[in-house]
Amino acid sequence: MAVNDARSQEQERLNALASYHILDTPEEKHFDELTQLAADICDAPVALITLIDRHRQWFKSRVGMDATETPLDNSFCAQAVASHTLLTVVEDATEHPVFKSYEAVTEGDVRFYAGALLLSPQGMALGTLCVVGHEPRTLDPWQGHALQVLARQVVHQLELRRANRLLARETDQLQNLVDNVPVMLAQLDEQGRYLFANHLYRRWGGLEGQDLRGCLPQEVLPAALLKKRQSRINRCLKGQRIQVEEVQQDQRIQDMVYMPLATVSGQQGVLIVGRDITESKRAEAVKNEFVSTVSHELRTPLTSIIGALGLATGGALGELPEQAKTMLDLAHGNSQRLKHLINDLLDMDKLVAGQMHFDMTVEPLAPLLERAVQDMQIFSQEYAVAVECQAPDPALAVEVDEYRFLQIMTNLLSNAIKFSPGDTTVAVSVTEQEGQVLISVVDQGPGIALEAQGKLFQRFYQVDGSSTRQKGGTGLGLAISRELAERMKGQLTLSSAPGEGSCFTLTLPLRTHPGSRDESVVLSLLDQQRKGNRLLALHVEDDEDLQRVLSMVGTELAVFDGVTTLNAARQALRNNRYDLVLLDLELPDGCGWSLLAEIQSLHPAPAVVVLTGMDTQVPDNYSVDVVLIKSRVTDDEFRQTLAGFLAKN
Amino acid sequence: MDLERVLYVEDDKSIQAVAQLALETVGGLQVCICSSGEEALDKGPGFSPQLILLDVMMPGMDGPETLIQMRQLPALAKVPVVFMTARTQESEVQGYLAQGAMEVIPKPFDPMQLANQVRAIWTDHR
Repeated sequence: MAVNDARSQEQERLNALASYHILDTPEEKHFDELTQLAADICDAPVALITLIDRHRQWFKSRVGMDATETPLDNSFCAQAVASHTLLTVVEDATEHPVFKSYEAVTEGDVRFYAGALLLSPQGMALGTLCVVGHEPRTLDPWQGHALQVLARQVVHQLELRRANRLLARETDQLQNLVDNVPVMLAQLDEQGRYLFANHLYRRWGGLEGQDLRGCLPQEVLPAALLKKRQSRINRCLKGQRIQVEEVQQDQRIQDMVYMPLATVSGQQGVLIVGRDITESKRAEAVKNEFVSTVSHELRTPLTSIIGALGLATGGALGELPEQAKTMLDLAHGNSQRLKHLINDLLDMDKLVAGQMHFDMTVEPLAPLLERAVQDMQIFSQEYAVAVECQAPDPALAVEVDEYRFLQIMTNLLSNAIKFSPGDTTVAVSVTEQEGQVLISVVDQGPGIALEAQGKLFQRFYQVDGSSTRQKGGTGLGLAISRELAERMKGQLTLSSAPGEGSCFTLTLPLRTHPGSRDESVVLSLLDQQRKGNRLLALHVEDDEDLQRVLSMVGTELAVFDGVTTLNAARQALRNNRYDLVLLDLELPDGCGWSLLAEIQSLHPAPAVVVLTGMDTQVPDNYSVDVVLIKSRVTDDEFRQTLAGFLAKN
Repeated sequence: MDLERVLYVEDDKSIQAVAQLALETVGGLQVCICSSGEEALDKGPGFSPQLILLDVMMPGMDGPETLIQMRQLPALAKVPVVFMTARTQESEVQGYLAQGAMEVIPKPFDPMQLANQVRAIWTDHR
């Protein structure tokens, strides 16, 4: 048992030694210096770093000895390791009961030996740092202490090498991972020099086999690629996050994101992440073509069917027998329904794919509603339902895509009319509430049970299959309307109860309509209502996400009008009296500084907070109240700034 | 001057029949019907239309190509062209307008209103 234990302990010790990967490595200065120091301190002609292997002792460092290894028989160091003594001192080997018979003593000239154990942090004896003399002598206590300190330094060096090797292996693994992810990755430092670039980044840039580290993009990127990337990198270094589709020279399309990212030194660098979207773009194009073709193929025969039925039922072909007219009306109505279904399917497809384009403009609400109601006049007469619209405040405006807004209103009104009993009224009313405009369409129809209300906005949901078919709906109208409302930053909601009619409410953010104000008006009633005791702030910023974020952060202190260009800012400043202008400097149509003169010529002039992505110097001839750096300002600082202005206001 | 003469180019015979009734019988217009772009280029100059209604998807020469060719003919070079098409995705409509169409009438159209629509476009154009 004792033999087995000793064997397994020795195996454990050998494993520990092997884990340092030090055996049979070349000489190294750091170890040699320690060995030389041991020889000097102990005034010994020979000094060794000895590692005890299974069948040999191997010297990592040697002073005064030529052999690189010797057998374990007659090894002083092996004896020191086996006895696990921290410091072994043999003053005269010829007098020592064990060592006196060793060959190095009987045949050789070893008389003095002092060995300090190389002890790993886990307590494994790896070998010794030893000194050897040819004359019997003593070792001063301070020399023995120094030898042990040096032995610990040897172990520290061994540990350091092992840690470095593990780190290198982890770095390799990470590099391997970074190189094999199916996205382009590159990081640049604050000067725009590459810190790393993965395999795909180099491959798609035609830079295979090159080490980009330390290079500037202009030193390595092909001209065509540089043209695209350089300005984006520069803007990103100033704090802007940019997402863009880049079409490369080989026609591949990449979705690129340039995001500001601090480097390990704490400076703001750039992380570039790119994804190849060529295939998905191709698939999208194929699908678009398919949808377009199918809709064309469906609509072509439908054109002559609807046309022929329209002519017949419209009286263009003369008087028809009553039964024939009834049947043709039926066919005409259903062919119209088929047309609407195709249109709705196409709309839904585009909405779901996020491909519907919204041409958003600020429009006064009153004329929009008037048009929506007017468009439904003939339809409402067919159902003998009156539509009443309360004329909204002429100053009320909404930011919408006019066509899509009318599409929603048409859907809400046609539903309300279809489900209203004859000789009743559908009422359209407008109210304003906390920066929102609420447009309600109220009918006196049968109402909708609570459990059906949530499902009503799902695609193809029918409250009552038969009645929906009877009323000629497609089952998509409300789903589309809600999507459209949300894409225009609004909401579509319902309140209803069986027997009490239904009220659909379209909520949209309130906008001030450019031109609806007289400049002499100090502050319109509308703005007074909107702002309450908050600041009225104009936020000039081309990043709409940031606009939204700051408007949320500061909502208790200010009400924000957001514009994305200098031109829009000028228009807004002409039409409104702002307490505060939040100004970005880099705008699509110029530099924010150019707006300062105009702001300062206003009476009273609003306060100006420059909110920028870059460190900036205020030009001498301008006065700015506060400069905030986007990447550094915290939510609290932003609120404190607003609170400061609010207190002065 | 009122709108009287319309050149109508459409390869689908059924749609032709409906549109002819809609434009002539309902709308009281004088219509010259052609079944292809080539036929329109051939007959168009002699008819001296005030407005051209042009289908987009036609075998052989399609609507946009026909429009380009018409612009080469002195008699048709300045006549306003309205595309009629069932391909009405936003990007497609923008494309037609960029190619020089004055307006796009989507199919299916309302036959009882077609002539009014065309007259309104004509009035706006003038």
